[in-house]
Amino acid sequence: MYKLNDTITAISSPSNDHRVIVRLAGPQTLDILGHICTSFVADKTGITTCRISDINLDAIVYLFRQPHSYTGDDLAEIHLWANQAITEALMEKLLSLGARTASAGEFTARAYLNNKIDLAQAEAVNEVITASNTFQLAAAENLLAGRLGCLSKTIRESILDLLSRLEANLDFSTEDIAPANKADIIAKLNETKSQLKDLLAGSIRSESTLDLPAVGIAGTPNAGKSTLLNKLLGRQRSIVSHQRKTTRDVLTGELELPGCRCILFDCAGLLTHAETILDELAQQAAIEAIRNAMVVVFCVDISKSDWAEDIAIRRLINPAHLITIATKTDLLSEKGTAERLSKLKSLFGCDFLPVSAHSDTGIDKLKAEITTRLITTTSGHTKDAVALTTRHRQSLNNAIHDIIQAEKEIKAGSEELAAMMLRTAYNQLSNIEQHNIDEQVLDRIFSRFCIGK
Amino acid sequence: MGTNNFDCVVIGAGHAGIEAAHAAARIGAKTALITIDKNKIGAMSCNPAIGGLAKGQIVREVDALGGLMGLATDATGIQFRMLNRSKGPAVQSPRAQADKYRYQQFMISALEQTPNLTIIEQMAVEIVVENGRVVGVRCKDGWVCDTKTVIVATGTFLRGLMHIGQESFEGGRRGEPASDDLSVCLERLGLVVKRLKTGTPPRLDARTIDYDKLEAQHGDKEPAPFSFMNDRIDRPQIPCWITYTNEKIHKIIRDNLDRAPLYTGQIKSTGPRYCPSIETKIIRFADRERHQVFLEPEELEQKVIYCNGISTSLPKDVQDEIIRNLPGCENAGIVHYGYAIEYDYCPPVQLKNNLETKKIAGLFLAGQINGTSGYEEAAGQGIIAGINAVRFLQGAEPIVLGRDQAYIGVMIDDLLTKGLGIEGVGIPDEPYRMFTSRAEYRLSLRSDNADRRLTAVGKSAGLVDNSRWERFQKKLNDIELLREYLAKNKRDGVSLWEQLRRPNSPLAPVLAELPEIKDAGFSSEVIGAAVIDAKYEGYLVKQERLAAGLQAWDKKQIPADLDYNAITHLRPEAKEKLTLFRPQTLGQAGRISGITPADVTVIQIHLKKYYQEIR
Repeated sequence: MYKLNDTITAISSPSNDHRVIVRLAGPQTLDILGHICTSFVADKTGITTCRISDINLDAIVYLFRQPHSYTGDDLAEIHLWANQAITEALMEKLLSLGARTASAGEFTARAYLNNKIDLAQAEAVNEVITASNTFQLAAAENLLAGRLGCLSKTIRESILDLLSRLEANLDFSTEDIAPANKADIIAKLNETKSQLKDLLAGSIRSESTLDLPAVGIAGTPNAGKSTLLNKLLGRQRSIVSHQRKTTRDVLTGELELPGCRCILFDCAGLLTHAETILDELAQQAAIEAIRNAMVVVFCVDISKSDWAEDIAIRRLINPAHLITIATKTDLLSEKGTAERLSKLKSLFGCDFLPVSAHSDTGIDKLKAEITTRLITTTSGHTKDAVALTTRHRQSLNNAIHDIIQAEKEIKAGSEELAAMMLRTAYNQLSNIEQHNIDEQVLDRIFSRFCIGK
Repeated sequence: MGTNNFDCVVIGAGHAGIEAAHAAARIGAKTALITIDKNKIGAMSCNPAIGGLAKGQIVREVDALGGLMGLATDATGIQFRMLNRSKGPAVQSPRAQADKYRYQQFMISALEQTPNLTIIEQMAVEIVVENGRVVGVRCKDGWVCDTKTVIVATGTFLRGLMHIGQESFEGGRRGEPASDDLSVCLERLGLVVKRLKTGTPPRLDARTIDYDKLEAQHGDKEPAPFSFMNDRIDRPQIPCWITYTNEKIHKIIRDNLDRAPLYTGQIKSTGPRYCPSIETKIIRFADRERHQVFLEPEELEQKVIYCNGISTSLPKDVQDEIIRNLPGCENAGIVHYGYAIEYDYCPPVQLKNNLETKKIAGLFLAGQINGTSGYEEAAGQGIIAGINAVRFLQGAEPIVLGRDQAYIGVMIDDLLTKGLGIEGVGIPDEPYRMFTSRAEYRLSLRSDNADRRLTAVGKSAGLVDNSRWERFQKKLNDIELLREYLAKNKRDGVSLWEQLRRPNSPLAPVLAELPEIKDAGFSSEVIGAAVIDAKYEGYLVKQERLAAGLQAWDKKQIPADLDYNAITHLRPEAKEKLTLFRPQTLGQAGRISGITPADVTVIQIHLKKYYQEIR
């Protein structure tokens, strides 16, 4: 359960935009701004330019004092130019200063409750809240069934176990039960702490693109790689032209697939013979990038008649997972495509997926194929890693901190304080609000110890 | 009597009924206390002890509000112990063995001296209701009194059914009749009634016990009183004795399980997990070679011994065999056999937070009838029901203690939101008992600061007299003075207060010995309070984060007739649960298991619309 009038925050700009807007609303807004911004004049309403010390970036802060704001609370919009990693670092800072991630529709819900908007607007938001609530519950269930869920469940179980031992010592100390052994408890705490640290270390920082599995798009110059990349990412990333070799650098974008994410990169055209120094550098970069890729999508232009260069380049690379696709099928008739596909098959010794970025042909199939390959891939650390959001990571960090604190309290002999720390750690790791933690602890005590005079 | 017209009628004179009647009458309501047997007022049907872990805090809270339980225990205790003394102050709790007969005498005379209170020896059989409001109470012999409020505090008496072996017989308590009519009446009034079970151990003749074979357990050298009004306990203290069951006893029990009503299906309801019978312990913890048994004297003269640890409903001959094999009790005579009792209770989801039933205006329930266990839990509800019955009469806002304010607040909120008695939704069907682990504000809800938490509440309710208030003001003042002194004065460059905040501060145990503190003449309670305040100061922020500060939500009322099905955006599961629990506040709604913060936001938005429409 969250408070009615605490301080909430959310990124309110589209995720693919480099101009980031972070919103912050609630009684702690001014305090928090004072902490993160150098030279921030707290009571100044309006626009201030300041430097955000932790991430060392300039930002424009629009401050609206209550009740003259969207929500009716003190509200700030922090505008900055930053990538996702920096934005999430900023969010982590805000959370650590006491803000809470706003749930869907919460800014608007507050606006309505504070008489800032009318019911018609609020009803629309209600839809969002409901949908997101249903979605979150479903997501939480999925998460619980998934790997992160299993890991954090195991950790939560051990925390409950520790807690029941401590609470038995406090609530049933007059019973004839063996007191919890301090050394045991400390050992168990350490074990739990390292499990948490492993989880944190093994997890993919969702914004850390370096840790996401990489999927490369390879092929001869002008094989349609950049067009395909733009199609998959849904936005213009690289300059596309019909002139050969327009793409000079390895260009990347993050691709959201059902159930996983990856970094998609398009590289400088691979050439059998580099013509210039620049070509050669681009070539090296491309080969290096492809070596690190988990999956390579190899593009062959189906509309041309000579594929000798394609065959030569195909020999240059040897990825773990290769998906071969035939691009530009929109330029051929259905019959023509079929004929050429079988020709490609005999030339390359594998099936080609027909694709056209222009007519959307085969795009979904390609995505599905990439997903399958990523999920079944056995190399690299993705198998053990789990993707965490900023909030999850913050929670794990807090939980680790709580457990370190619990250990200190145990050593100082303050079991009641250690128990409190373990409770907060437990709550940090719960996906859904846990109201019945005391009942769960009591269940464990009664099943483990013979209580009752 | 002269009249049969009252403001408030309390049915039952156990630990809930006493506090309810005393509170209502003291605040000024013309009150009647109806009991079947005046000599059984304040009887301890189970063990002769008051307080204990978490319960001791409740006794201090009842005392701070102006109740009787603490005073009675201090006046009649025969062994005082502060439990968890080696642990943190938040989990330390006072406990005392009481001389159960003197305790009853104290209560009878305290009630007799309470102005506005009439004790009536009758058996109430009907609560008379007109148009959904209480108007009177009818008794067995036909006598009727008029009243606007009724507090039912009947303990285990409603359809009480006792079991000893295959024998079962009706009764509210050993030797006393059950009250079936009242149960029927409650059901007729539309209340849902369910069953719970509890039990007691055999009582032994104290003169027949061989104490040389037993380990003594002594009380504290310096007994700490329960009541804020008492500085010390001067009464004589006597020990309890400890013995253990053995394999022979366990075998006797195992061999006779076919005659144990708990295992033959004769007893249908469930007993508490925290207080299992000896037969349950032996089955569930078969690997234990022995179980501890405390032999507790029931009175100063040590005539009867209570065998704490072997609660049972086994047949008499089996109980005889058990005692014959219990070290130190080989030749002991059984004065009363142990028994199990099943009784009716009203699942407490039917209550409002002032302990009034949602269905019938002016009808309040307190104690075991709400599914709780324990004298202290009963007393805590009793005093709140008494206060709120009067406030109902006055049309004043009820006094509702917060979860951050008192264990009593935690208890009543738990009763309303945990779903005791709601199949498949609520907590296990067992009498609700308080544990410190139930309190998310445990660091604040201490036995040492119950006075600081609740004296002002008792005062505003009209239960705290001038002498208590003045004494309390002096203590507050002294704590403030001491605090200032500690904050201002430094040693080695660090203020004394800061030094006290450190874990295991070496200053804490010797603070009272510092010459300047000694000279200032602060009492040990005042010094203790400052030391504890300093110790926990830094942790309270963390506690606040954990408990998520629900006060604001608790102030947001939900209308009793809200149609959750009409709230389109609410999830079906939430609609169903909320319709079942009918929470009074958004805070309560949020504490029902399975209700998410988003659900609460949806209700909140709906409520705003609702209020705009009715305006």
